[in-house]
Amino acid sequence: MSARLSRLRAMLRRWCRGTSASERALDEEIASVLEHEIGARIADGMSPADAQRTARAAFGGAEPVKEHIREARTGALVESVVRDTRYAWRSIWRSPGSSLAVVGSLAIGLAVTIAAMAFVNALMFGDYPGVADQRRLIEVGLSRTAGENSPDVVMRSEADYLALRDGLDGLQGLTAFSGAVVTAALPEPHSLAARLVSANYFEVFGTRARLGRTFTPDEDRPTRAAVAVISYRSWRRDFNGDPSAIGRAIRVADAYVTVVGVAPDGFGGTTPGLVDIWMPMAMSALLARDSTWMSSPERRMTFVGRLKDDVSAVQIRAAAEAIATQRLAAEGLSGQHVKAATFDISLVDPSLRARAAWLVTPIPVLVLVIACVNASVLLLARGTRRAHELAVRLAIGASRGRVVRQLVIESLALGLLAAGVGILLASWGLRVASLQFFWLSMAIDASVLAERCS
Amino acid sequence: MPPRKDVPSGTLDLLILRIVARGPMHGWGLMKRLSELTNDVFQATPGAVFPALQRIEESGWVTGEWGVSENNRKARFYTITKAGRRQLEKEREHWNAITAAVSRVLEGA
Repeated sequence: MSARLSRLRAMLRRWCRGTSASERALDEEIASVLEHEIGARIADGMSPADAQRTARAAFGGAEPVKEHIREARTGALVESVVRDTRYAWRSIWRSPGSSLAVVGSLAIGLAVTIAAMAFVNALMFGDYPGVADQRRLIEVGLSRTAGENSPDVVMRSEADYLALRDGLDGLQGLTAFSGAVVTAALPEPHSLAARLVSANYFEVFGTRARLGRTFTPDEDRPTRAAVAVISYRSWRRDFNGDPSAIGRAIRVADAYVTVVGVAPDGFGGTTPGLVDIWMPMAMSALLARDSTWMSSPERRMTFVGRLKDDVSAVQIRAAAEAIATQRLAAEGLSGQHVKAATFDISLVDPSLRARAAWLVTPIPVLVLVIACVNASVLLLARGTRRAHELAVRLAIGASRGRVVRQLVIESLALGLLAAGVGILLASWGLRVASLQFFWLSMAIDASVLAERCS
Repeated sequence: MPPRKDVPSGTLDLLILRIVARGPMHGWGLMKRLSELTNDVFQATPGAVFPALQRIEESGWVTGEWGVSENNRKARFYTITKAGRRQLEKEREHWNAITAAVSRVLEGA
């Protein structure tokens, strides 16, 4: 067995037996050596009292010797850190008032900073809830005009959608959707914010059902059974979060619709948190009997596509204009000028993000700095009060290094305690805030946390 | 107390192994023997010897067992192991190599 392995085994054996056993062995060994020394001195002709006194003096005190031996043990650093930590814990409890003040002050500072950072992070940099890789999503808008003086006509009919969907090969997929408010019997009548969507809607947003499923590719054909995906919020509110809501038929407008899935918490496509129910576009005919919004010939559809990896929005605009011009020409509408526009799906304009971040971050950081100053003043006061204790520790043989390490461990323990309380406070605060901003996914991001800790 | 600064570190281990190699020995005896043999060049205090002895025991080079010493006192006896003898040979060679090199420089320069 190698020496290193043997040392490791000795360390583990000692830790398993507990420190008191090895302390006892240490005491006995030192006592034995001292006895032998005294015996030898008596044998040399000293009186027993003199022998005892001189032997002890020659050894320079049992405690420092024992400390040397302890420090030579394998894993001694770990053991002494454990001892120091225990001691730190006791000394924190000895003055609960000032400990509470330090921990409280730091915890509040940390909580404010963590919560603010999580909020800013979600607001400016996070994807919308349930949406995957939002940066690759763009909204595509089309309009046409016959000339300088004629009005712009927005092109967002089903025919426009189909032409773009089949023609834009720079996109991984293009979905179309329109919004409506529908009345649903659940069984009490409720107004629900609805989206009538192309079957590939959830696929384009990269969204998986939280429960059940989303739409299958053929579900936007009129012949299919009427189905719907409901929002997480509606599921909790209108169905009490009952898993058996899947498969239940509900009445929407005049039609019966089967719930097939629940969307992820907060998901609302381009309007996070603001949609209650999604139904395939093909169902507009079913719903139309009840409402007037469907009867307008040009249904107001929004087109959202997902860019392929090496395609830019500029390329998509050019391609969209070409496709639309071609389609108009085929319909006999020549001489039309088509304009395409693309928009990012984002709450904050990307060009403003950096500037906004610079504006918002200093405030919570300042709060943290104030909290830190406050805590350090409190610690300083505590240090002054403990001068006596430290002097005693130095006098009974603790080295300066040990005392400093002890104090550092104590401060570290206070800091960790504050961090724990701070994270708890922050997550609680964020939970309260998310009641208002339910559409933001404000989880405490590990990267945000790491930034705080450093 | 640690050994004097001018004694190369690690030499104490070598000397302890060498002394124990002659036969089982208890801690105090080891200390005395060390002082005698080195003419007190090594400060053979408990604060130096026992940490080294403990390191050696943890490395599996000696085993310790409680027994009764020649003058009827309880004492812990240290016995060298096979691994300890191998280690002694290794350190002895290492020591020889170093001293040979140092004296070559001293005499050649």
